Amino acid sequence: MGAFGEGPRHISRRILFGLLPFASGAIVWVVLVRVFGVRPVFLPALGDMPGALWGMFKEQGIGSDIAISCFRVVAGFIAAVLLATPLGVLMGYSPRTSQLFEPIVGFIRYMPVPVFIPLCILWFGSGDLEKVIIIFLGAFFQLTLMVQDAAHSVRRDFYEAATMLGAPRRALIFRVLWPAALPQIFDSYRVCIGWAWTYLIVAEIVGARTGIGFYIIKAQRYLMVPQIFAAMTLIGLLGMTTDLLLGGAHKILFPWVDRRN
Amino acid sequence: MTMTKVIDDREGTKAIWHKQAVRLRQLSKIYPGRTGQLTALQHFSCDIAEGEFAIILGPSGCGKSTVVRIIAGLEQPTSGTVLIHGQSVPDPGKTCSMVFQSYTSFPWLTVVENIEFGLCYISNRTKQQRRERARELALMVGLEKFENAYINQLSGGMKQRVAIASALATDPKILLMDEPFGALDSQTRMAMQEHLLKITEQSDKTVVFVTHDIEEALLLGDRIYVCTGRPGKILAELDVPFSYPRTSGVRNEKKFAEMKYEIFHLLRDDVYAQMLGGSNGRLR
Repeated sequence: MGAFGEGPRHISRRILFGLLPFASGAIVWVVLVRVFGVRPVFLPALGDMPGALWGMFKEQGIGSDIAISCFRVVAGFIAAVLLATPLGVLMGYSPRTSQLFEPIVGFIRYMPVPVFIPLCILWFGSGDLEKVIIIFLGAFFQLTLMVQDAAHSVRRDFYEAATMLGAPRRALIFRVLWPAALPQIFDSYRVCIGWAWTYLIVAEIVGARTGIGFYIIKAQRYLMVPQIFAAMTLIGLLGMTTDLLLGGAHKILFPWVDRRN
Repeated sequence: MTMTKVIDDREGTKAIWHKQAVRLRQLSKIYPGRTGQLTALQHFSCDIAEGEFAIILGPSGCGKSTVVRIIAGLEQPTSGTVLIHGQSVPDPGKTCSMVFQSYTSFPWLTVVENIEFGLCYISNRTKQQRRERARELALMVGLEKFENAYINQLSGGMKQRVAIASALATDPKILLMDEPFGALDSQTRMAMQEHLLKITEQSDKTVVFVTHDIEEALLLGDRIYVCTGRPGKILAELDVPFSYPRTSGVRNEKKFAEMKYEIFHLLRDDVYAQMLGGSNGRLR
């Protein structure tokens, strides 16, 4: 069952294929530095990177910056999930709820996240709370509409079938809509946590004293170019790991979803 | 007009009245639309006796699905009366179960979980008893080896067998089937028809079966209501003479071919009119 060709040979080939672009990127990097002589201020030597990374952990305490950034992302994301899920489900189920909330959600959704920063700093200071709220605001409105879409796209005949099997109206949300829409809702969580990382960096670039985003700003100020590259790589790795974890969880949680369609 | 008169006469006959599972009187259904109203049904009347395997046969677009959806309580008629066992239409799912043409078994549940879905609404059975009942039904439709499979792993015929088992699980008095084999390939359809014959011969349920397939109607039905479209109304009622137990073999009988042609002849003008576009045979 499931996706075809899940054999070990297939997996190792997949990993090899996935690594190819990384390898080509590295080659281009080395050529730029060695052959074209790009100065280290713009592009440090690839060989200097492990040392820079090691130093960041050993001497500059990037570990605690990572931890605080992760905390902010997860807190903002969970808050958005907890509020957007029930609201989106209700909006997808009942046209009246949707008529009530869709205009306001659609209105705020188009405000770029950075425009909230000045007010949030004014109201909540420049600590963790403000960062979490920025991430929440960025994620919540988009996620609400995505959950609404997932809930709305549940096949109508499923409701009719459940009704004909004796299910009362109030059971339809929990026994039909929720299980039917959950895989797509879970997919929107996955997309949403990607945005949360973007909003985090935006929030940490303005008025922050901790976090990976702040670290990059600091590194730029002192022209610590290898550290900028290393911090960016770390963000990429964190994001990719989250995505892989959620992707794996999707497969375990929803074994019935037919990915071929 | 004579038709209406005959039916009105029947109304006085109490004996028949009691045995009626479904009585439809002068049903009309008008759908409002952007480009004007669509009259799906007009003055549609029929009586379906208890325990009868009734076929509503007609070309596509003759409103036959609307009839079963009204009996099911999923739609309200614009005018006319519906009586189920002499009473007004109960809440959907109380007396009638339905098998749809589209595959409506829930993909997030396994085969037994699907069959079990409605059981918690009808009796005080324990979880274990419900599971046992679901497994009995899985056995009845020949899916005992696939009890724990998910719906997307099954073929179309198997999916419809799950739907039939789910519908029968709640022990409905009336089983409604809206072109249940319409999406299946013809060999699977023949096998499913034989299977359905076996299941329904063992029970005393009233079945209302919608189809556009004349052979399917003759093979399965006790009585065939031939409908014409638009607006949908009944052209003729025919009793099917073949005795039980029935098998696909009745297809070889002379009477089968005769009746098949007779029905086609009844529908012929209507089908040609639709094929050429417009309800009067004129191009739209």
